[in-house]
Amino acid sequence: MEREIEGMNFAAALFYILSGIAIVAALGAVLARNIVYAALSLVGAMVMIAGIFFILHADFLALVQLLIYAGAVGVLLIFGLMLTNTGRPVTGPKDLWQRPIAFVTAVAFMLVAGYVAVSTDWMQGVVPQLERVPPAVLANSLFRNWALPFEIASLVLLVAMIGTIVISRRETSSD
Amino acid sequence: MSIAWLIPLISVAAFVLLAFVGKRLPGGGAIVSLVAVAAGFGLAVYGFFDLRAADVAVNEGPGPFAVDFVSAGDLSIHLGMVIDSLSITMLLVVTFLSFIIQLYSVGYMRSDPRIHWFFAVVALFTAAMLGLVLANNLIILYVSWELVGLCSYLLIGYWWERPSAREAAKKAFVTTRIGDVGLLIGILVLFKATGSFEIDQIFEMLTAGEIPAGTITLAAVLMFLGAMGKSGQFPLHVWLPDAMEGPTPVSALIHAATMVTAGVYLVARMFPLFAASEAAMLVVLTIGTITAIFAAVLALVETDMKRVLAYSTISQLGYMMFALGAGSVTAAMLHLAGHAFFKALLFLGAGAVMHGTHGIVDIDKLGGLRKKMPVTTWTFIIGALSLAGFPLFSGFWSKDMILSTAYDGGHWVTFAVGVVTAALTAFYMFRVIFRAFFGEARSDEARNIHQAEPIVAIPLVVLAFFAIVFGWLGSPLVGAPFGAFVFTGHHTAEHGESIWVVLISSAAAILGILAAYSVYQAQNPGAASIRSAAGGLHTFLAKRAYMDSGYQWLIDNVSMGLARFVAVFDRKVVNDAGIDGAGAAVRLSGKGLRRGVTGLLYNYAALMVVGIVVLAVAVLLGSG
Amino acid sequence: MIEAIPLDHVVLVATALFGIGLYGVLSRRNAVAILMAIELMLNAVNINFIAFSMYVSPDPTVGQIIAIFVITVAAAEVALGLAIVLQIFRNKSNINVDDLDLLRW
Repeated sequence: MEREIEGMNFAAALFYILSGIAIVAALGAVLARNIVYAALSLVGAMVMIAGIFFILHADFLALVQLLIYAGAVGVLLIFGLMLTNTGRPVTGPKDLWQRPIAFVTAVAFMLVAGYVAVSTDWMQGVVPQLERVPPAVLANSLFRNWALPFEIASLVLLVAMIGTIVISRRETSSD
Repeated sequence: MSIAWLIPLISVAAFVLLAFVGKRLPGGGAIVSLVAVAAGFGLAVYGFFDLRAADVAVNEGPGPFAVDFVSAGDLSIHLGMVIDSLSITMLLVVTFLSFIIQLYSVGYMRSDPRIHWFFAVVALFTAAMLGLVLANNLIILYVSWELVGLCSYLLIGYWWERPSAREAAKKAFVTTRIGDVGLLIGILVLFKATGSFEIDQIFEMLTAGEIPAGTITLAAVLMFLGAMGKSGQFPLHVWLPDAMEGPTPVSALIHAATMVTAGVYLVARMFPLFAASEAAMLVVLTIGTITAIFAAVLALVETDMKRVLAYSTISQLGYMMFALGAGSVTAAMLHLAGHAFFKALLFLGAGAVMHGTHGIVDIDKLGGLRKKMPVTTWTFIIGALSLAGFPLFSGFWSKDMILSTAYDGGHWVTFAVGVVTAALTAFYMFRVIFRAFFGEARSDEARNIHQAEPIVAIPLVVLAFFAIVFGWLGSPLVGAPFGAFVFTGHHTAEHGESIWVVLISSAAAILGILAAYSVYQAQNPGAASIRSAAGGLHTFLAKRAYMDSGYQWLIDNVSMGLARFVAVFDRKVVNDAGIDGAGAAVRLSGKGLRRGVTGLLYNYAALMVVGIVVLAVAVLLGSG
Repeated sequence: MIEAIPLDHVVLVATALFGIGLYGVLSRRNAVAILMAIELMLNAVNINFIAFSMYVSPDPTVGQIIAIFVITVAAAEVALGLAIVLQIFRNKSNINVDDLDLLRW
């Protein structure tokens, strides 16, 4: 994909394009009136993010992102929307101050975080290596150094599964 | 004489005993109180002989007994007794009179259901009075002073079923309170200046010139305010006439002989303080003079026998005060002691009359009592002659000494007033005598009166004897032994009685008696015509110069106004604004803050984020 | 290579996505929409992790592994969240968060 100068520019350009689309899609996810459109927008944003991962040399993670996020989570969200669809029109917000305050808060947060990000010298003179990490290395690290968190994560998933089933049970008269 | 403290203490024990178990004792426990006082008298007599040998002056004398009472930092108060000629004189007078009058009360109060309480309070009063007299430091003096006032209140309001008695008791207490405040402040002023409550220490500092002149005057005048209250000087005299609501023995003991003389005693005890300040002496002199004549004039129109005697007491106290103001402790004390005897006699006589007529004491309704009650009549006349200063009776010598003091001191106005008052005194006393005891009976009760029983009559005779004899102690014809005993400072060659003073005062007395005779007995048309001619003046005097209504107005508008203001302030500002307000503030702020708990998650989330942002900014600014 | 992309830019992109997600959490009224916005925020976090691990960290695998865990937990969280939303829907027949104010005073 990369051919020296052009390769560099190509990756950078692709990055900016994908970021732009991701941001637009994110805005769509957050602002769309029709929730299904919003959900689809979200899925689109996740796909773009997967692309960003690719550009950043995190191949495995990009695939994981596509599979799990864009795939399972997105579908799950759409299912949820389907099950809780009232068909009634959306009513106005109860608290008129909600939108402006949310906007101001989010903007303020972005400004502060952005300022921190820009003004801090992260690199400190270190030149990034940025070589691709083969999944084997990743797997090695995951199942050796990070074995305990891995097991705990699986426990979390188990609990979540059980919890989900328990919470979404219908109340039956025999209980 | 270090057992002097027993004298008041025995009476205190009598009070306690009578208050708790008096009801069950026979005769209401009068015996207990009588014995206690008699014991006190015995000890006082012993002390008298003990002291005579020592030949010490007033205010000099051993302070034989001191006990640490309170020690707080730099301040320590000692309980102490002072036994000198002044206190011995008072001890003798108080114990003797208390005994005689209690004896009389056994008969007079016989049918009263609460008699044990009567004797209990009288015992307490005696104890307090003795304590006051023996005190050598101002704190004990003040405590006894207040206690005496309390007993007076209890005894004036003894028949509290009567509303008039309750009011009179209240009036007495409140009026003397005004004086008591002055006394307290005076004591504190002295303490601030000298650092001590002990009387002898204060006098030491006084002679050493360590107390500034302004302070001396201030303290003296303030203490005199206390004396004015207790001794019924103008304008704080208004309680004495009303105090006649109490039983007659009470009037005799407290309001003639002992309590009201506490003020005179106070000035006498603190005499070096007063003598050091010309202004204070002038105040005492002036007030005493005004009181003497004012009360005598008011007595002219009273028809209640006891009230006449009350005004007479006020007037005589005025005499004693201006004697002190003119510089002679001897004259004042002699008159005090003599007056105690014959005034008590007069009161007890009036009581006998009241007892015999079942409560009538208005001279317009009496008359001709002489035939049915000879003992009472003649002892009464003896007392009146003594009071009027008729030559050779007791009052003559003491009144003479007082007038001489005024004359020699160059206080012409006072002297003139004293003479005129003497004439007035004679006049009003014999007005009472001629109306009540002579002539024809003017009511059924007067007709059917009976002679008093022996236990009532004997004290009258005893007192009559002293009323004649006692004053001779002050007579120069026998070398004025009283003056040798009770004197100020050091032996002075007591002034020779000017013959002119003697003549003038005798003339005044005789003139007064004759005037009374002509108006009331000989029924000169004068009496009725004088009354109608001086109608306005008569009403003015009968209404007691509107002083009572004046005081009432003052209380209603000033005191009550202030009280109302304070009540409103307390309710509106302190309670509503301050306390309720603080509570309301908390409640309202809580109410306001509650609105923030909306239950909506996005509100909480927003607040959290805001908090994080603020924190981040703060950290950035702090470190950057 | 990708040295042409300054780290700051990547972080800024992540910040933007995070901020948008934040706005969505605070302003949306549909419960599921809020869950979606949360997912967006978590994605932004992932980007950050990856970027930093690649650019700055001496061991480039750490960030990726953390990102894997984040994805895992996010998936679990969405599942549970949807289960709760479902129950709420069954009780109240709508999932407007404005109606979920039972903790109000």
